[in-house]
Amino acid sequence: MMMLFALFFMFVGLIVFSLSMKRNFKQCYPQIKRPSLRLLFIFRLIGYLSLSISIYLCVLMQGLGLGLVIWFGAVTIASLLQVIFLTYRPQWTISSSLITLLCIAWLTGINV
Amino acid sequence: MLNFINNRIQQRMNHIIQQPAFAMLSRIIAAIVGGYVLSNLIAILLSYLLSTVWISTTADGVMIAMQLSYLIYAVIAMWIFSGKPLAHVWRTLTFSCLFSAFLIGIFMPEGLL
Amino acid sequence: MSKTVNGNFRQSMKWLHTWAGLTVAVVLYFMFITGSAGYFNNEITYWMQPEIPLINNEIDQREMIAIAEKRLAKVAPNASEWWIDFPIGREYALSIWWKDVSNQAEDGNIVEEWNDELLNLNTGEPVTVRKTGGGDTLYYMHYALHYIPSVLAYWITSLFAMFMLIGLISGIVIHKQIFKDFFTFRKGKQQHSWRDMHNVLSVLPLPFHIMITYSGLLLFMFTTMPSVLTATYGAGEDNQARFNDVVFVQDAEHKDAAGIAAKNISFSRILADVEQRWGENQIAYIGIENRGDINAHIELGLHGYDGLDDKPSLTYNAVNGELQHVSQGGRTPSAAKKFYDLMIMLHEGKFSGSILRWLYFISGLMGAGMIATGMILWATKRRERADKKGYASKGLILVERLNVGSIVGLLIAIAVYFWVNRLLPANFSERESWEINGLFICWSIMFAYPYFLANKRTINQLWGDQLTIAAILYGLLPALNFLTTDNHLGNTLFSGSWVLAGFDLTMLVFSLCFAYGAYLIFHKKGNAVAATHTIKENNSSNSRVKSADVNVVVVKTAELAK
Repeated sequence: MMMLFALFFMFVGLIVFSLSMKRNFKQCYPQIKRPSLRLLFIFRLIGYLSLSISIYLCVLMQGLGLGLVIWFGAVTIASLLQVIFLTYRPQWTISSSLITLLCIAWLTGINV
Repeated sequence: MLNFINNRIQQRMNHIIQQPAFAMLSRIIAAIVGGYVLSNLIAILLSYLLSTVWISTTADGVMIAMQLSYLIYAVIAMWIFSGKPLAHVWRTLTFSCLFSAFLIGIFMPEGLL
Repeated sequence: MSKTVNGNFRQSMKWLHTWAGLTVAVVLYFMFITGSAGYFNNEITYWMQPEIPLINNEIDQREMIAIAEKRLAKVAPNASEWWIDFPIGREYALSIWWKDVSNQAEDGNIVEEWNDELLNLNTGEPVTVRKTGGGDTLYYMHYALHYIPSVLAYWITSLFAMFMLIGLISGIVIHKQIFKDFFTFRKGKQQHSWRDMHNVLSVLPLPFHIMITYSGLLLFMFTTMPSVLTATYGAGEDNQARFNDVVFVQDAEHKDAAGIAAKNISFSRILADVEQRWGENQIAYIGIENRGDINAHIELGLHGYDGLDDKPSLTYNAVNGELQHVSQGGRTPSAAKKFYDLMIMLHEGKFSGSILRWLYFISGLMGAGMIATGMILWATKRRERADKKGYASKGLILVERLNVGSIVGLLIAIAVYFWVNRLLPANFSERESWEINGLFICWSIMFAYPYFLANKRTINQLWGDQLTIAAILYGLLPALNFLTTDNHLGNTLFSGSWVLAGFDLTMLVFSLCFAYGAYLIFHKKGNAVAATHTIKENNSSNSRVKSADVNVVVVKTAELAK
């Protein structure tokens, strides 16, 4: 259950983190021409925060070594998915991440 | 006559040395072979320093120095390719090899133990 | 050339990154692909030995011990060691090992011989399996290569890993905005798309790349950097033994044989105590050493890992059944040794469960993709320039052709490796070497392929051809499996053998990826928005087609100018 939270925070972190980049923000919300710098800054802050929370949870659950290994492995795949979605289906980014989260939730129920 | 041949050889050598391909080859050899020798010498020195100055056991010093030697190698190789003139590269390489070999000779005349 | 080396630091690092990368790219790509496959070595071997009977889910280790002990008593009554591996975790068959020691009276030499058998759980009889190299050969090749002495190969792979390390560091130096471009992928822009793809595949798994390269170097530390050890301890085995005694401490709890005969207990006697400590069916292996001696002992390993540490094991006295020793990874090593152990653990990933193993596998493939996109980027960039000039250098043409044969060709060759496994007769005597020969023969053909067809097909079509071949070979593997064995998808899916089913399904997924790549090349060419995508194997570019258009435009403008 804790691992799910960790993955959840990882996905949220990556989404918000990508939104804090001007280029990716425009991909997701083309109607907003000029996102304010403060908004981007807040996004970045939340992004870092939830990524840190997910590292913390991973380490808490799996121990320092294994936790970090799992976190780095998962974050690689998660951000790869993020890149694909941002490029090809930017409007799906958020919902697709949630679906992926559910799939992972189901998988983690079996084995980590 | 001998002088003439000497001059010819000198000219020929200069010609080869000024070839860009030769310069490149020389730099690659400097990086791969020279870098390997120097990184080993530095690592040996480092293992000595670690085991006498900072870390208590000899085996630990050797372990750390061996593990760092690859990073030292990488840094040396990258420095060699960082745009310094070739002559400067070879001069520095030779000097640092000799200097570290000299230090090793002083500190560890027949090994540490 | 030396002119390009001069200039500012970032420029020279760019130069270094490009050329250091290109020189060793093919071998590094080979190492990454076979190494990634190596994370599933046991699973691949399982698939390649279809004679291994499927095992139903209820594993009762007590029964298995009884079966194995009975068989061992029959075939190896005088063996000095008995070992049993259980089908648990990443082992897929009940296997027994024993060490026969025969005293040959003529020359007085003691001959030790290891033998092994796989057992059928239902009948208790041994199963004859085909002697394939399996996944282990793929795994072994990623550091020992093939056809050359292994020590030479260690030097070569270490040197190339050094190139890789330099490539990574210089890559980080020349990448201006790692975080800003973290999610950036611009599709359909030729060179830019390839560069973005190269960046994405390098930056996202960067921790993995650095770890795998550096730890790969450390694995052969004592082969490639021996001088540090020699300088401190002196040359020769005796001197280095002093170092090994300090650093690599063995468990000293195992007594040698005393030479006094004694009756040993059976394995089942200690099981009650083991189950009390670990729970039921948690044993990975059990074995007895110095059989028939008064110093005989039984050793058991726990299945599964808890964190990155060594597996715990138990040692019992085999005469009276008392617990002798509980191992929790031996004594605590020093920080330097701990770091070394950690790096090697991380490289091998032996601690990982199925999900983490997949993460490793995908990260490894991304590494291979990074190298492949780097090679393609090199060619695409120069092809664009060459088409503007209207003249392509020999080097460019060479690299373009090599790219096809090395990137897709290797993947085809690995598919052929699996095909040969199924097509050779089961009792073929030199199976192991001919499976590998098949791989390399196929790879050579794929390298030669662009040269034979250079006049008839464009580079782009060559990419399409090879991707099609790959798609067909991978796609038909499950069908071939269906025709030649009983472990096909129809059986494995319904009996819940997810490893075998997973292998076939993965092959189908690969096949779909290749087919999609081939489809993009053959059917979408000439599109204004060139379709480029992120799946590693589908690397293909339609630069040739587009550049032909560019050429026409250039010629027309020239005419207009006149």
